[in-house]
Amino acid sequence: MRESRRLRWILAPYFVVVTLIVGYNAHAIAQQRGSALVVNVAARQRALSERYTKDVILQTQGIAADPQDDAEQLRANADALLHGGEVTAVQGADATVVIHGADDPLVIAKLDEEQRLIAKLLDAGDQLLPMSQATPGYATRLQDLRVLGGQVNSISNDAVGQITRDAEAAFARLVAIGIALGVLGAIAAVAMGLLLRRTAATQAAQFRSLVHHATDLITVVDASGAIRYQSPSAEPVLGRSAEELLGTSYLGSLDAADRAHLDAVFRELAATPGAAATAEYRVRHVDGSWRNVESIVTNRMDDPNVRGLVLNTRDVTDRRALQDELAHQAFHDPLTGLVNRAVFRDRVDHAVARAARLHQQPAVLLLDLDGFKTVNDGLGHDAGDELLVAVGHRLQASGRSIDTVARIGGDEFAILLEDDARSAGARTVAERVLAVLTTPFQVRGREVFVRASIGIAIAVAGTTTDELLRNADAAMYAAKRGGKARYEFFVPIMHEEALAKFEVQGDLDRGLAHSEFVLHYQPIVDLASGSVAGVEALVRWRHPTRGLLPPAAFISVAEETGAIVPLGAWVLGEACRQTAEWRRADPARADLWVSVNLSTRQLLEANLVTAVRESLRASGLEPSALMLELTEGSLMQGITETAVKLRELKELGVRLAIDDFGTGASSLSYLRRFPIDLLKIDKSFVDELGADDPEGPLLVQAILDIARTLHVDTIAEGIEEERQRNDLRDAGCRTGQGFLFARPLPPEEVGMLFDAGVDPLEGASTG
Amino acid sequence: MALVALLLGSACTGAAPPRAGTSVAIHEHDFRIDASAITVASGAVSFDVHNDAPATHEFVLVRTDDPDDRLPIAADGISVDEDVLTSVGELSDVPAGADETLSLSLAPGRYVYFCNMEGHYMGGMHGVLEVTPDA
Repeated sequence: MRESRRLRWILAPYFVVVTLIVGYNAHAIAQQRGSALVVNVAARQRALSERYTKDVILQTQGIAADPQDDAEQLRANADALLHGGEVTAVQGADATVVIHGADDPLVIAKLDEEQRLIAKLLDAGDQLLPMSQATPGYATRLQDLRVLGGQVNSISNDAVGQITRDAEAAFARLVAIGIALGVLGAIAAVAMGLLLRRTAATQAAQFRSLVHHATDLITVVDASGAIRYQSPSAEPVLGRSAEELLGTSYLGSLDAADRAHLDAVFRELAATPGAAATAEYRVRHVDGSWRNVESIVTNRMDDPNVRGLVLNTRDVTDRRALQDELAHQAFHDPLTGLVNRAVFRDRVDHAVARAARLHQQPAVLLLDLDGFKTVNDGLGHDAGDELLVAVGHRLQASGRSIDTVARIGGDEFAILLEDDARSAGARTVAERVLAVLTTPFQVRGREVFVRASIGIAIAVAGTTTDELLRNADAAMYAAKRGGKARYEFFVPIMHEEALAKFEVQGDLDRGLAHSEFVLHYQPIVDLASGSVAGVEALVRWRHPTRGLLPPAAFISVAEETGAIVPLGAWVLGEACRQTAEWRRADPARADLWVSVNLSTRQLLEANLVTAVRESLRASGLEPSALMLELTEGSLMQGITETAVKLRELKELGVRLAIDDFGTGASSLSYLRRFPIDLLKIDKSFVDELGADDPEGPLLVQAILDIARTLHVDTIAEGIEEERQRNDLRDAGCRTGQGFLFARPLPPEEVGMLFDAGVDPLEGASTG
Repeated sequence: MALVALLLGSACTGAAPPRAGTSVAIHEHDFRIDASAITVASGAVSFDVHNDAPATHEFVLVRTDDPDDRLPIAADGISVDEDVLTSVGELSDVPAGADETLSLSLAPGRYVYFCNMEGHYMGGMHGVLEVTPDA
């Protein structure tokens, strides 16, 4: 019913368009036919006027003619041309045709003129007709007649020309509109075709749906559930034919719980004729498998043809499987199949709530994989995914079944221990996890090693889910900092550290913008003469609320956030500027040089060389007066690129030093690859000189030997005692720095120090 | 600019016709031709023809000493025989209501203009124009 109405809606506009086209074409043809008739009639006026003139002349010459007939036609046609009406057909003696009157004002003007001239012509004819050639004035009258005849011809031609032009223009318009309508018709036809096809598809779908419904099981049972009728479609679902089922209990193929439920539904419905209910339950196939079905049960007890409960049952097993799958996807990480972050949170919520009630202590272990990024970047994301799946399996296997293992982020996993009294369980699980990860993974045919850093937090009375997760996170970062492949229990100080770090991050950008950073300079002294040879620039942060902060309070955060790059650039520029100023101010200090620390991140920056060149250019400082300090660790990052950069810096004329030498793991062969000028002996070795350790001087001696082998200079760091200074000087170390000489000082104090000198023994000597 | 030249020209040459060219307004009716001048100075002359009639008309100019109503007639007995006349210029088709211009350079002499559509000349569409030597 609805379909036929819709079809009508589709067909109606199409027929309107088609009718429009056909109607218009008919109109256009009629118009053209009419125009052709008018042209014919108009053209005939000329012939008529000539015939009239000729007939009048013949008549005056005594030859019988019928000028009156010509005159009548001329008059009638002139009137019909102007106002429309019936005229004698041009071809064929008797037929008459109807023409429409003129509507173009120009044509009307010409036809008016024609009518006027015809009247004059006929008038002249009337005057001539009674005459003969012998009558006086005949020649003049004859000429008048011929002139008027010529004028009628002329205006008649004129009118025909204009009518033809009008007809041509009208025809062009008709053609244009006809084409437009044709296009509209084509569009309407295509649209109708598409709509019909869609309608057909809808109908087909509905038909399919009907057929599909026909696969529903129709069962009629009595109030006790005994089958009185069963449709044949039961066989695929239950594995038994309709005949076999007749007389048996419908409830027999249900499990106990469903049986009780459906039995109750039957009893309730049996009481009310016409009542209906829906039930979803499982039935057992004879092969032992279970099918999910949905029944609409209707009471047809009072229908004499039925007299029972009718079950309209559909197999919804596939639908249920899909629903279950969707539910699984919503709660699980699709890659590893572990529960996702949302579920994990939910479980922690429950555990925390239960803990308060039952005095339990849930624990959360947060795992972050160390080295995952290397696999992902090196072997590709697919390999990374494969590794995550494998890790997930091992984690699942290493926990107890009651523990929840979740993947909560890229390479982050979490384990919830529902009750972990005295943290013994958490420790055991953490150790087991670390142990299962020591075995290498096989990914893409390669052995891959990953480790995990584990943070453990245990809920105590009043701990919220957020706190518990945040604490585990802080502990995990502590474990990472502590050297990875280890676990840490949360202790409150971690939280403070994390908080402080968080604050520093925000403050750094502001500090840079507000010029809160300053440089202090520690003099580097010639150990023999005590004079100041150079200074090491050290950055300080004049924090508006926390006071003057040493680098240790912010440099590592700046490295992490990248703020080190603009900060480092500023340090470089300022150190160069200050040093150039000192050198200019006093010829005695014209050889002063400055040493600036470069962080790993800075060394990896692509535009480092440009930044250094720019600082030198801006300050006018001699390149040889700038020394850049690098750690052994930073040299080991991207060795090839680093070597290229260092060579470029050397070409600028800048000197390069290795800071904290001896604490890292750099090998001599690596060091040879870099154009190093100087080694800074780490304070830890200098400290040994002060102690009564016989090996102390040996270590320093070894470093000095290396320096000599590499043909580089040395600076000893952290000299606090005279004895250390003396030992170093005697061992051949030429320069040093430390509290013995001066702490890092603001620039103005350094200026005074130059004049006062720094040598504690020869305090009066000038620098 | 043209006005200045005109004034200067007048000052120098007294009452002589202007050199810049003369225009003659021609109005055609069924069946009459009215001209705004019967005499013009030789040189550039433009005929601004306006057709007031509902019919289409011509404007033909010939140089002849014949009277304008005694031009040689063709075989049809009512049209001017243009073949035996010296046509100076013509507008062969001036539609009803239209304005058209015929620009010519005319030597001194006597000229006749007419419309030679069938029956129009004899209907009265003709006139004379005298072209005087330039002073």
